[in-house]
Amino acid sequence: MSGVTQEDDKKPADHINLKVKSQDGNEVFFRIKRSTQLKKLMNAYCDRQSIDLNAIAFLFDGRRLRPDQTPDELEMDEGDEIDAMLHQTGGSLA
Amino acid sequence: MFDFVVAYPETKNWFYLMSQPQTCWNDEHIDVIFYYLRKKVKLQIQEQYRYTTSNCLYKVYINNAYDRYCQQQQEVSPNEECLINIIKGFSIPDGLPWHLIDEVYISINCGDEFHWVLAVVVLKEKRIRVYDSMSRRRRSGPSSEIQNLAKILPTYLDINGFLDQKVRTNWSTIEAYWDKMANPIDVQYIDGIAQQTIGSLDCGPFVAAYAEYLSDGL
Repeated sequence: MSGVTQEDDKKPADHINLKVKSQDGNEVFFRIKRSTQLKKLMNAYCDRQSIDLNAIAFLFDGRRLRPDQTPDELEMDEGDEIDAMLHQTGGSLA
Repeated sequence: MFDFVVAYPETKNWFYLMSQPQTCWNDEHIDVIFYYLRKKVKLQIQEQYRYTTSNCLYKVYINNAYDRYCQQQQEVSPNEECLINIIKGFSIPDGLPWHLIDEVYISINCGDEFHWVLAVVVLKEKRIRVYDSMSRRRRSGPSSEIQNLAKILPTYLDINGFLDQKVRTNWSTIEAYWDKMANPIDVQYIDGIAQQTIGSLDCGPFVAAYAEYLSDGL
């Protein structure tokens, strides 16, 4: 554990821990570079949850995230939460 | 990639789904239209009638807050914050604070029924009007999404200090708010409105059309 903290101390500005929270409240944690596009996190999340990337909208502060945005660009802070919401659709077949 | 502020369509298919018959609209399509309705009211400064719109996530926040509230779970607060921010006019691009308007249009996705309806919160009457393009199908009471909204909204208006606001409307003098705030808001389904044909999958466009018509305040 102490090794991890040391690394944190060394490069606080480089990496960031983010929490992705699903609609039913499950949380998954990710650590990515501040300059990395969030596409990477989105793909990793969907892979891990075995869901289609197109079925999910990722939101930060209530706004949809674009895959090409980075934590730096969005001024994300350590431990910030991203919501993973299922897309809603409707056509009333009946 | 297109930037519509509230959504970023990446594929041609997004536009295809929106324009062709026999296709379903999702939350991004509705959110983009509701965003432009918010822009529209901001440009009409002289109009007597003022409204704002919500986004499709509102229903998710309401349902989450409702579930947690009723099951007395912890962690109500993140959802509460989202709901309160929306009422205060923050967090939704080009939103208006609710104490400065007459009506709020909320697109509601009835998940179990694979259906979109429009819920209009008439703030001065403390009433929710529901515009449903498949009203013949509805035999029992309001869908669970509408019921949750009706039950939980008064609490959030109350704790948000909405009733203390006097800038455009002196809310505390309105009779509908004299009874207990904990009472649910009245729900009224609107009859005699345009209906989609069966099997047309058009409830999304109907929600947009109802909202656009109402936005003219006619």
